[in-house]
Amino acid sequence: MVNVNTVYQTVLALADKDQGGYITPQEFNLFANHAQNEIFEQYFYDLSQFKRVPGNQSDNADMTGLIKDKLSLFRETILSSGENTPALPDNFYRVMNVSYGDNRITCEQIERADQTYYTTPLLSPTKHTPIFYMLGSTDNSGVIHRSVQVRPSVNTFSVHYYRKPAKPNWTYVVSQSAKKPLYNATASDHQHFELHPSEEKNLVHKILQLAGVSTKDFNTAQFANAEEVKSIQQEKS
Amino acid sequence: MAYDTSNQKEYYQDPSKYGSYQFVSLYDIIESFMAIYVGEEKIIGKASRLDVAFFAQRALAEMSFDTFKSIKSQQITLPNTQIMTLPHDYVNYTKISSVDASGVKHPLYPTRHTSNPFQIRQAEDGSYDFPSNSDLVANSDFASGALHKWSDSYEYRVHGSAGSPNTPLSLSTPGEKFMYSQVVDNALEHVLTPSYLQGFEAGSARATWQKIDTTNIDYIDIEAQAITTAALAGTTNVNAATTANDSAGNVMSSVNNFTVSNGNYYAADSGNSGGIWPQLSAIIGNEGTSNALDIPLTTVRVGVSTNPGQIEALLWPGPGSLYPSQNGSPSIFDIDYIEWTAGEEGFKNLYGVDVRQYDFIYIIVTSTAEWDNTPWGEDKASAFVKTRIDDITVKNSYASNEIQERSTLAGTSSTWEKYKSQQPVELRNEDYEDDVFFHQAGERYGIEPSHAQVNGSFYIDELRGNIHFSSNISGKDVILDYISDSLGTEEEMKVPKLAEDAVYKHILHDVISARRNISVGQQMYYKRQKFAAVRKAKLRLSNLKIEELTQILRGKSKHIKH
Repeated sequence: MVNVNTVYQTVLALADKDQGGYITPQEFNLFANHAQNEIFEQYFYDLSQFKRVPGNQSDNADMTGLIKDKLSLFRETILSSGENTPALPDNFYRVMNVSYGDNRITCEQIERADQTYYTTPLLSPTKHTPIFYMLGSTDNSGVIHRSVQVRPSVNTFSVHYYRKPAKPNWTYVVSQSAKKPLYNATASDHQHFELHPSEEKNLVHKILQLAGVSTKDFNTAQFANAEEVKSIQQEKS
Repeated sequence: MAYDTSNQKEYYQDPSKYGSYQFVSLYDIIESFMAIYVGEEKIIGKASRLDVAFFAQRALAEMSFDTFKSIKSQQITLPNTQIMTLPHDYVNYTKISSVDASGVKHPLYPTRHTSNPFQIRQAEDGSYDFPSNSDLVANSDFASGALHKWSDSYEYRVHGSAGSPNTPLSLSTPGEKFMYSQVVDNALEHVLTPSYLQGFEAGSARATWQKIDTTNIDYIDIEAQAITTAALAGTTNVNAATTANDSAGNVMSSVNNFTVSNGNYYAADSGNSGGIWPQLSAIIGNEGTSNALDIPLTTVRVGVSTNPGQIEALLWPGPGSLYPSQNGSPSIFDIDYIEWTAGEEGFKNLYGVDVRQYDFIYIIVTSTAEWDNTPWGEDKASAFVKTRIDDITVKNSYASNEIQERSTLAGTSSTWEKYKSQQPVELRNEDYEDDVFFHQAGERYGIEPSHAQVNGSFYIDELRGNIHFSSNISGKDVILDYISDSLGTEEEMKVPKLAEDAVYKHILHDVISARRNISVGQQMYYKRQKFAAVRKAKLRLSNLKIEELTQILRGKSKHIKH
C-alpha cells in the first residue's frame, strides 16, 4: 500500500514550485487512478519480458519473483456453487487459473472456439485434464459480465484471478479558514494506492508527467519522464 | 520427500493395492512433466497440459505395443458357434491357446487358408440381388438356438441350488437363474420375476435388442409374433403345507399359495425361509398364514429406437438414471412400436416406418411384468412369468440400393460354415498306406510345419471383431493373451516404474518435435535420448535373470533335446 496523501503532497511540492502549478484533489485523483492502472498493467508485460531472461535463485533479487510478489497483492479466489459458473465480480481483471479438488487439479485454458477440437478420445478433457474457457455477456445496461465454463462439469471449482486495484481517492474537507481542502483520511470513500510500497516513486513520476501536461509545465513533465526512464534503465538493465 | 507414504497396514489389508507400487499413474507423470520440464528456464518454455496429456497417452500406447509386458488375457469356454469376440480393448494378440485337463496351455496357430468374407446375396441366375423386403435383423427367427447377434439385459442368478419345477423344497430356477432371457424351441423367452430392493417391491422389464444399419433405407416394415399372459389373482387355498424356520429360528408355515395354471406360470414352495434373499426372511409378515400372490399381466413391445434397450431390468424405483428400468416404458421406443398385452398373442405388424433421418437404429423387444402390491414372502423368489417372442423382422419397404449379405446371420459366409464343420486337416492322420501310395510306404515329404500339430487353428476376422476357431477346439477353454494400448480409464492408465524415464523422454521428444523453429540437431538429440531410454526400459522389462538363464543353459550339455 502506498499512502495517497504522501504521494499527493510530494506531487504538489514538485509541481507547485512557483505557485503556478497547483493540482486540485479532483485532478490528482484522476491522475492517480490513471498512473496506478498503468503501473499495474505494466506488471504483466514485465513478467513476460523477464521470463525470457535468466533469473536467479534469490526471490528478493529475481525480477520475476519481484513482479510476482507485487502481483500477489491482487490475487483473489472465488468458489463456484456446484456446477454453476461463478459470476465474476466487477473488479475482476485477469484470470490466473481455475482449479478443483482442493486446488490439486488445474484446468487448462482454451479459447471457446477451440473446444470443438478437443473432442477426440485422446484430447477430450477429463477429470484429470479439465479445460476452461471464459465467457462474456452483456446485460441490458450494456455492462459486460465475465464468467467461466469448466469441462467436464465438476461439482465445485475455484477461479483464481487478479482483481483491479481499487481507485485511489484523496478525500478532503474544505476548511473555511484556510480556504483550501484539508486531507480527511477518515472519509468513508477514502482509498490509498494498493500497489506495492516500492511503487511510490513511480507513482509520483507518472502523476507528475500527467500533471505537467495538464498545467502545460513541460519542465516538470520532462523531469518526471527522465526520472522514470532512469528508473526503468536501472531495473531492467 | 519419500515416495512411499502409504500405510503398510492398509496396503496388506487391501488386496486391490497389492503390487501397485510397481506402477506410476499417467496422471502423475503428466503433472511431474509439467512441473519439471515446462516453464521459464526449463527445456520447454510453454506447453499446454492438454498437449502433454495427448503425447503422454501416445507414449503409453506406443510403449504398450512393444515395450511393456503383455499382461492382459481372457478365457472363455468356446461355444458351438466356435467364435470368440475380440476384447473391448484389443489391439493385437500375443498368444492364443487352448487349455487341457491339467491346466496346461497348448498354443493354437493362425491359419492363412480360410476367411469369412462378406458373401453377397445373389439371385438364382447368379446376378446380384437387390431385394425389397430383405430382413435387416440377424437371427430374427432364433433358428441358431441362441441369442446370437442379440444384446440382452442383465440376467439374475439365484444363490442356492436349482430344482425341478413343481417340486417342493426346491427352487424353480433352471441353471440357477431366475430372471433371464433364453431361446426355447427357436423362440425368444423372457422370464420375469418380482424385484425387491431396499424395501420396495416392484416388477421387472427385460429387453433384447440389435443394432440395424439403415444408412440407405428410407422406410421399414416391422413384424413379429408374441405370446403374453393375463393377470391371475392369487389364492389362499392351502393345498400342501410344509414347515420351515426363518432366519430368526421361528417356526413358520410355508405353503403353496397360488395356482400353477397354463404352464406359463410356475411357483414352487421352496421351503427355504426367505427364498433367494435369506437375509431378508425376517421381513416375512405373514408367518403362519398363506399369501395371496397376485400374478401380473405381461406386456410385450417390439419397436425401433435410436437408443438400445436398457441393461438394468428392475422396475425398482431407485435413485439415478438406471432405475426404474426404462424397458418397462413405451418411451424407450422413440421411433415406433407394436404391443401385445394381457393374454394377446399372434402376429402384429407396422408398415412404412420412416427412418430416413437415421443411419442406425435398434430393434428392441421388451417384456414387462409389474409385480405390484404383492406380499413379500419366500414364494416370490421362485415366482415368475414368461413371455415368448419370435420371427422379429425388420424389412426395407422398398428395393435396396446396396448390395445385400447372403445370410440372415449377418457376418456368416459359407466359407466359414464349411470351415467350422470340417475336421481340421491336422487331425486327419492319413498314412497313405493304400493301393495308390503303397510304393511310398513310410515316406513323408513336403509337410508344412505350421500344419504339423494337432492343437488346432484360428483366424481373426478383424472386420467383424471375432476370432474363429477350428472345430476341434469347440467346447474347450480358450485363452487369449493380448496387448492393448493401455488407454482405458484414467485409473487403468499406468506405467511400470522400470519404464517411467522412458515415458518422460518419449513425451519430451514428441512435444519438441511438434514445435516449429526447433533445429534438426535438437530434434536428433532428444530422439537419441528417447531411443536410449526406451531401449533401457525394454531390457529392464524383459526380465532376464542371470540365475534363470544359467539354469536354461545347463540343458545345453544334454544329449537328447527337444
